[in-house]
This record gives sequence, C-alpha cells and structure tokens, in this order.
Amino acid sequence: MSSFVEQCRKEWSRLGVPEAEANEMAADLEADLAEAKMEGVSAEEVLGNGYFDPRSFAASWAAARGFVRPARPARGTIQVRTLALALGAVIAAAFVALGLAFLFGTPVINRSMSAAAAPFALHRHPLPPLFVNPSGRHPVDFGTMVPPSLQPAGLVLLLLGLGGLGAILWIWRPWSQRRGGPSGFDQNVGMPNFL
Amino acid sequence: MAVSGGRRTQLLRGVLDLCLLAVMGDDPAYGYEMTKRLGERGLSIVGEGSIYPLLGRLERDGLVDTQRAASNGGPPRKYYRLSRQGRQALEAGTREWRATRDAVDAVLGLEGAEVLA
Repeated sequence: MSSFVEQCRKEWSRLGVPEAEANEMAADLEADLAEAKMEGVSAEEVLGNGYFDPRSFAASWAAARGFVRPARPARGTIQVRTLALALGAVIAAAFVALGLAFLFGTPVINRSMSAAAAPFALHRHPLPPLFVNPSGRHPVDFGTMVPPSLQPAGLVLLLLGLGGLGAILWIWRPWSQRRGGPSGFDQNVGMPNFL
Repeated sequence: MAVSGGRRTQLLRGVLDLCLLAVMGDDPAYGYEMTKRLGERGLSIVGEGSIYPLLGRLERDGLVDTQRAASNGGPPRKYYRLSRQGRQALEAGTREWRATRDAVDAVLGLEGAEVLA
C-alpha cells in the first residue's frame, strides 16, 4: 500500500469511517494510482492538490460520501461560549456604569428617585452637609453626591470595564465569523477547499 | 494576470460535477478512467482538486449508480454510471452552462467571435 493511501486509511480510521467503506475507498485509490504509475502519470495528476494533503483529501472524500460530518464545534460548546461572552459583557458594562457613577455622580435612576423623594425628606430630616449645595439655591446638588475619594476607584473601574468590553469584542468577532464559515469542503459542489 | 489561476479554479469548481456527469454519460467509468477522459477532452486537473470527493457527493445525491466490476486485467474497480436523476441533472446543468456562457460572452464582447474568426 502506498504511503499516500496509508495516510488516508489512518485519517478514515481516526474519523470513524466504517471499515468496509474505508477498505473500498483505499482499494479504488490504490488501483487508480497503480494504473496511473504504469502509464507514467504522476499521482499529482490523478489527485490534484489533494496529493499534498492526504488528511484533508481523505476527510473531504469521507464527508462527501456522508460518512462523517464536516467539522464544526459542538452545539453545547457554542452555547457555553456564547453565555460566557454575554456574562462577561454584562460584568464589563456594570464596571463601566459604576466607574462613570463614581466619577461623575450618582446614576440617573438614583437621581430621579432621590429627586422624587427629596421634598419629603427635606421636611422630615435635615440633610447632612455632604448633600447641601453651598450656593444655597438648591437643597441637594446631585452632581457632588459621590465623595471625591471614590473618583480614583471610579477611574479604575471605568478602564477595567472598557478594557473588558474591548476584549470581548475582539474575541467575539473572529469567532462569530468562523461559526458561519466554510467547514472543510465546498457545500455546493463537494469539492475540497484545497481545489 | 495574477488572479487567472484562482479564477480557473473557481470556474472549474462550479462545473466539474457537470463535466464528470458528461464523461460518464458515454460509458460507465471508474475514477482514473474519468480523469483520463477529462484530459482527452482538454480538461486537465493538474494543480487542481481531486475528483474523488466529488464522485462521492454525486453518489450520495443519487446522481450516479455504482457497480464493482473487473477491469481490464486489473483488480475490480468501482464503475460509475449516470442514474436517471443524474441524466436530468446533466441536461439541466448543460442548459444553465450555455445560458451563463452566452451571457458572459455577450458582456465580454465575444458573441459571434468564433464565427468571425
């Protein structure tokens, strides 16, 4: 058996191609290559570019005959990876939101809640100095509700969050493109990609 | 032109299944025999892909029937012949090829060029 056919056999065995079919393909290939050699025709002329890549050639042939599915990530793997990326994006977004809040004041939702509650609170309890606007025009200056000591932490959180979002985008883009990409051989005509 | 090799590959990829159906339409043939018939008609696949995966797909799609039979003095070979479905696919594919070729010829200004030459 030629070295090329031997390598094909190994690949078919690895892919789980039924032995009877693997034997049949190997016998056909062996006979064709032997006949070509007798006629002075090179293996490359018979096999095209497949001659230089026995494993891909064998995998393409087996897939075309329906013995193996074209290689794709398992469904479970896709779901776990998608969930992990989504969770990472949510955490990174939360870091960004916290960082912004620490740097520039309370989040909008807290502002409106505090604003709604402020008139009632004013009547019942005197505000601590932190919440009193020095100008005296407004009882509460929401832009200064976060102590300045938290601003460095806010900057760190903001940078971490933005970095995390960038990293997730960087991971997600090529991966999502690969998911819909070619899968070992041309789906339309069954020719291997190395054609 | 730098892309000419790649273009030939792409063109072949689109019609090689049709060519295989055509060469086995004459007589049943085994793999290497089909490569030779393609070569005799001027279509060499040197530097291109193999026909074996394509034959596998044609078989899986029911476009060819196969039979193992003794070859001339050699070991038994797998012979491929057109099935009824394959013959219909060949006829439909030939019509599509002619229509596409004529349209491209018209765009490239090659319409009637053979007659003039």
